[in-house]
Amino acid sequence: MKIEVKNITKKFKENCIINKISATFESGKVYGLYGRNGSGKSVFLKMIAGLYIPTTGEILYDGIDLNKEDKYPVSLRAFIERPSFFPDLTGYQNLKLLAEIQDKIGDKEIMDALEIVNLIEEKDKKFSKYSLGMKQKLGIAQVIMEDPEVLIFDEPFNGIEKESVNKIMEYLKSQKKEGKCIFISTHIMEDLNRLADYIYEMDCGSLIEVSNEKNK
Amino acid sequence: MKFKKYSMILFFILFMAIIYSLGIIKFNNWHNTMTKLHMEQIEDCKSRKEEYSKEEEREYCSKKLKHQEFVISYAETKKYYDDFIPFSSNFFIIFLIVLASCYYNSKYLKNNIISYDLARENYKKVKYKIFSRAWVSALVVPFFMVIKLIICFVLCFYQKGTTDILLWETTSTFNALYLFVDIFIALVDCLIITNICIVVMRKQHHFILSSILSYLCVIGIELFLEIVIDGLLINKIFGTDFGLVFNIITFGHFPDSYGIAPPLLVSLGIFIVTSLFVMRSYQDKEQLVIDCESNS
Repeated sequence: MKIEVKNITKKFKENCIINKISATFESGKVYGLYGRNGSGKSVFLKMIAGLYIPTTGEILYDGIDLNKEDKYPVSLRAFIERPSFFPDLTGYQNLKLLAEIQDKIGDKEIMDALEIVNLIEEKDKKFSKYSLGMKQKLGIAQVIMEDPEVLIFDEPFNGIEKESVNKIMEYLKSQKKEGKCIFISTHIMEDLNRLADYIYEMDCGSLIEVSNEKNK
Repeated sequence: MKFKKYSMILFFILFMAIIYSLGIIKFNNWHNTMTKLHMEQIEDCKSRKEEYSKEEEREYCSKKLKHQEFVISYAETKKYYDDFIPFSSNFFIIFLIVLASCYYNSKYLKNNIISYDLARENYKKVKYKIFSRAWVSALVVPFFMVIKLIICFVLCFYQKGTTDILLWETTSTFNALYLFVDIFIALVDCLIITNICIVVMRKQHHFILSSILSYLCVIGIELFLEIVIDGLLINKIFGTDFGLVFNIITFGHFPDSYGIAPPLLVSLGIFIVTSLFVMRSYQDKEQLVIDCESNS
């Protein structure tokens, strides 16, 4: 999949959060975003995920502007900001509920996703009983379980122990090799250096490319 | 998983089933007592036939002796059975409809599940899922009204042993068309209530608060219809009680003094207006996502 961002801006009332960003994102690459709080990373990723609509400009998914037609990027999954699940359902039940919407995957794929994020032992615990790290892992699992072409993560590793972070990173690297387009935003530059092919800095709503020679 | 989604509606159905069963028990007890009393009165008439001197007493006894069994009509059975169902006040039933409408949707919006759903289906589908989950709870009351008709039919059949009870009790105000319109108006009124819940939930995602607010809105709209439309406008200006038909909470016994059409059209009109409010309040996908994020 090719995502073309064409001169997009995003304003909330009079505040300009995203300012004339243009970029192209392709399959088989990991794009890293970093920047201070309020720099517009989450808003930018939400626009890519189709949750927010650009005030001006357009985002094309394989040449199609989905916002104009009330369509959605079929093979895109995102985990942006806080993990959002039903607190009185277990981790597994929450994933099952989401998987039932498109009904493309079964129990095996859900279990595989839980295994990748090291959450298999806690799958039958209620979401409300999860620690921050477990909640983050479930958020990542809902992204990867349906094997999407585009994966978006916003601060995914908050509160997750190093062992699991390494496992998830290895998985994401393998996904990149399989031709997936991955977006990651984080405060931790070290994580981006390990994963990203291209690193962008978000500053006052603008996107500045900082190349990552090691991974290219 | 579907059980979890519709747990409050299932609770509502269970509650209705319990109060309807209690209604049957109470009706049966009452019917047994009345039958016993009727038989005693017949025995009394038989044994003391010669002692009655007054014309009224003789007439009373001849009537009693003519109907040896204690039998009441279908309309009466329905009226008495209605009275015997506990907790069946419309104010209480409305609160149950509100709870059932708000339960899953308020959780869904409060926990911002919508942001994950929007990656899996388009906004139109997500929106109609929210609406349909609330609309399902509007089916419970009409469903139980149909059940009530069947129960009354069975109760009537049980006491009379014949199925012609519906035919011999057909009057201008109580017939099959009346019963059908009664159920249809109840359905439309319940849909109006669920529409109000959907509009309230657009901004208020907390289950308890959205339920209380929705309930107050329903009562507020009913008071507006009764006091302003009926009392001040129609009654004062035109001097008629036609305003009685402006009502959204009298399901189960709609005001039919002006015929079937006016209350039906008024209910449909209010339903269309509330549906327009529903469509309008959920028009902006992005604003809904932002509100869900800020409320979660």
